[in-house]
Amino acid sequence: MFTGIFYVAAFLCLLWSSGFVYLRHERNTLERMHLANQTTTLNMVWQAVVKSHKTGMQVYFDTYIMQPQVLELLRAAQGGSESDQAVQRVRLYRYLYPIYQKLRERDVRQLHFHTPDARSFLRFHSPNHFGDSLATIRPSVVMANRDHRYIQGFETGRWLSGFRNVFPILYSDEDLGSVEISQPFESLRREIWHLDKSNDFMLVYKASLLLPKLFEEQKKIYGSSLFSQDWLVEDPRWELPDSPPKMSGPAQKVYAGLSESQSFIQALSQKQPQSVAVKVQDEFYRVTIIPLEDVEGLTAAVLLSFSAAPEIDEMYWNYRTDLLIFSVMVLFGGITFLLFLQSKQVVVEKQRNIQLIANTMNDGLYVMNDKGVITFVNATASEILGYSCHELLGQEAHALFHFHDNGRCSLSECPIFNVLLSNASYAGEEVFRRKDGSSFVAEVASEPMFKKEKVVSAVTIFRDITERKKMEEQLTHLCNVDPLTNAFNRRYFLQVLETEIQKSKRYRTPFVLAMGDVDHFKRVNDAFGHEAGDRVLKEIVASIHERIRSADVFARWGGEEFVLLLANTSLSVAVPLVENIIANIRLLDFGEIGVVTISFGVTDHHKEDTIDTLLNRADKLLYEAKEAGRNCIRASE
Amino acid sequence: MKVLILSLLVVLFLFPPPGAAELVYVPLPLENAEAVIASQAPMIRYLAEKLGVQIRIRYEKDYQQILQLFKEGKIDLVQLGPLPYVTLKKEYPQVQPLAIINESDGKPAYTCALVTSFDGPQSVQEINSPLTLPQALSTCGHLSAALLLKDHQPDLEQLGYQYLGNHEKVALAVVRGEFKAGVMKTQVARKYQNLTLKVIKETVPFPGFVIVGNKKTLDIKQAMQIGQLLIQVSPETRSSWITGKDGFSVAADKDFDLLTRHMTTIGIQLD
Repeated sequence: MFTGIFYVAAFLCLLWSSGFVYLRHERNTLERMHLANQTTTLNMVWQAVVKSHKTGMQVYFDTYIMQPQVLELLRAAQGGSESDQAVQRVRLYRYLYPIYQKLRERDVRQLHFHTPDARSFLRFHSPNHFGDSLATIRPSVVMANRDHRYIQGFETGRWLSGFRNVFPILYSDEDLGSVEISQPFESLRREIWHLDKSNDFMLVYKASLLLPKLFEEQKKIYGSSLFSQDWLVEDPRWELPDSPPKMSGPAQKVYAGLSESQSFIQALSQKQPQSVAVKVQDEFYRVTIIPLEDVEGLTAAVLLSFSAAPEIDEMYWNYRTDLLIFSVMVLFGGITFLLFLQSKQVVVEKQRNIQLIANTMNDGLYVMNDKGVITFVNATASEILGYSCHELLGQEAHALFHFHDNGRCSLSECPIFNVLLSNASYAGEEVFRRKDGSSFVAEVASEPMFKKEKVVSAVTIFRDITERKKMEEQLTHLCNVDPLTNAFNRRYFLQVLETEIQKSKRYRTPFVLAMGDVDHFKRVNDAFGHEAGDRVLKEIVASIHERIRSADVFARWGGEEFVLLLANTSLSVAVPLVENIIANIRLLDFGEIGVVTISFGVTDHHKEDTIDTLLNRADKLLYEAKEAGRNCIRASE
Repeated sequence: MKVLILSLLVVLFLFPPPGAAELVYVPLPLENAEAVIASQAPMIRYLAEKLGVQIRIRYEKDYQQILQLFKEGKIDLVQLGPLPYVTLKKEYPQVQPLAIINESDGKPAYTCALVTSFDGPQSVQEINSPLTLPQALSTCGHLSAALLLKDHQPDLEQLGYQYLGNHEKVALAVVRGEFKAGVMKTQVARKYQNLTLKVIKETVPFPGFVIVGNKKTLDIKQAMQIGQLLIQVSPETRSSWITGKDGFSVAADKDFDLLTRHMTTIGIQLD
């Protein structure tokens, strides 16, 4: 039993573990799909914003920069003395300043002219900072001037970082350098926010790429992100007047907790957009990471979006609910199975005990179903019948070994089978047949077995009573027979006589009663001893038994007196028979005893006769025969 | 006893002692917000770390508004030029000068300059159009302009002037030719000389910008501690700073006597 419990427990653990792994895998798959969907959606929105931004900047370039006055000023600034260049720079600043103001209203912050050799010529957002080489920190400027093509992409810079749009300026095949028209990240953040207001956005910069480029005073505006010193945020304390609005409270909490999210830290190092789920105060949030590559293909910044993810909360709730239900089911199933095992064990033990009891019984036992087919049999039954248990099981008992009425009894007439039909017990003696064909008398007791008040089978106990029957017959014989002469005794004869009188009255069948007495028997005893007398009596009885029919009853009435009942016999038939008996006795050889004779009084039955009247009449006739000289017969109707 | 302790806790909660809350610092709006905050941030982070309190930088554009907020107790620390300080001191005795910011030459004094562009007037005598000034309460505002044009005809009032808000705007407005000339802090003007901005005339030195504490919101001990921290900051520490890079000097009210005399000279009455 303990082993069974161990295996069941091990199986349940395995089952629960499998279910746990499956449900967890399912939840993780759903979560991954959800996050992948979020990544795709947000990335598409972001790409749309970037494209729109690019288109807008191109329009500004075509409209405001590529006009003759601007191009002439730039051409005039080429070459010349430093002071001449300074004057042309101021003139360009003066000319385009109203346009720059207009562009600022449209969120343009970067209007920056470069010389053909990639040095800063005029920054409208910081006009007094110019002349510095951008060759090492602004690949976009270098590429635009070298390849004379429009360069667009994210790039950090000395003053500002963001999406760069660098346009080469060619005027009558003359290279006048390039100009950058760019909007800050905040502008793009607002655009994407308008398209997806469920998210908070922030931009973080790769410190190793940004810090070497910044002017010293600009470095003070940046601070380390809360999740890593390798990533910087601009204006972390929201001190600048045109800083992006503070993120929502939940988003700030998520941001503050990112350092503890390994999945986020891992995703941050990837080059592909990804989303991760971050749990803050029992609620899930999506953090989408969109890497922003600079024109050289390096991840210079990362756009982060934060949004509540009730769907993931629901996934986890469903997962926990499913796991709980599954656990309860496994537990319930396990308990049920254990109870089943226990009950089965009890049944098995009961069956074993029953089998043990049945096999230790001295009686044969078998159970048959409602078709009379044996479903259970004990060893004793097998032994009595000579069949093995295997041969008996599944066989119809009636057909196999019942032998009622010498095998002429059908199944429907079988009293044992009828227990199933009548719902009643049966007890009786039946004849069964062994496998070797021999039959025996069986004492049978059969009881119906019920299931929900319906008889479904019957149990039968039987024992071989052949020996007992013989003993009974012997006992009966001993009770009815005179031990000396082997003739019936007086008590038995009176029973038979009474029966015969009743039968005669009912059926009018005749019978004859003859009463005999050995003549001068006392003289034999006196002269030759009782042993000789006993021998005389035995031989006389044996002689008479040889002459009468089996239906006739011959008994010792007492001493040397005998009675003979000749059934279904008339007096006319009886008298010659009795005379014959007398004659035969007279011929018996008793040695030195000599001839022994016997006298009989013979009468038939009258319808008014009782035992007494009949016996008295026979006795009188016997007396008459004695009086007539013995060795004779006196008969009367 | 329990009731008394509870009452004390409630009182302490509702009326915290001075110096216990976050401190608010307002810098002078000499330039745009980004430049100003980037310039002041290292100094403020240093003070916050040493004091063990949070200090928030609050950018305000208008001098008058700054003085009003200070008087209302909404500002704990402020950076002021000498004129706004003298003006505030007159109206609000609870100002506490903590330290004067040294200029790039290491002295706690600065000058204001009359500036023009490459195509502007080459001397004071050629000025014949309105001037641009930072703010009315700026030392380099009306006071300095009046001093610089003291013996000039037509005088400042006749020429006219316009306030643009800060020194950077004055510089760029002159560079763009929107004004032929303007008055601003000389040190700021030199940042724009590469845009052809040039100084025509300078004032005498005025006391440098002063870090001022509000005795209404700061306890004396904390105010003194701030002054000491600034004056004693090591050159190594402030070497990476912008504002305060050249150190600090002890501030005293007598430092501003000269300014008061100049104000009297040109007829500015603080009363």
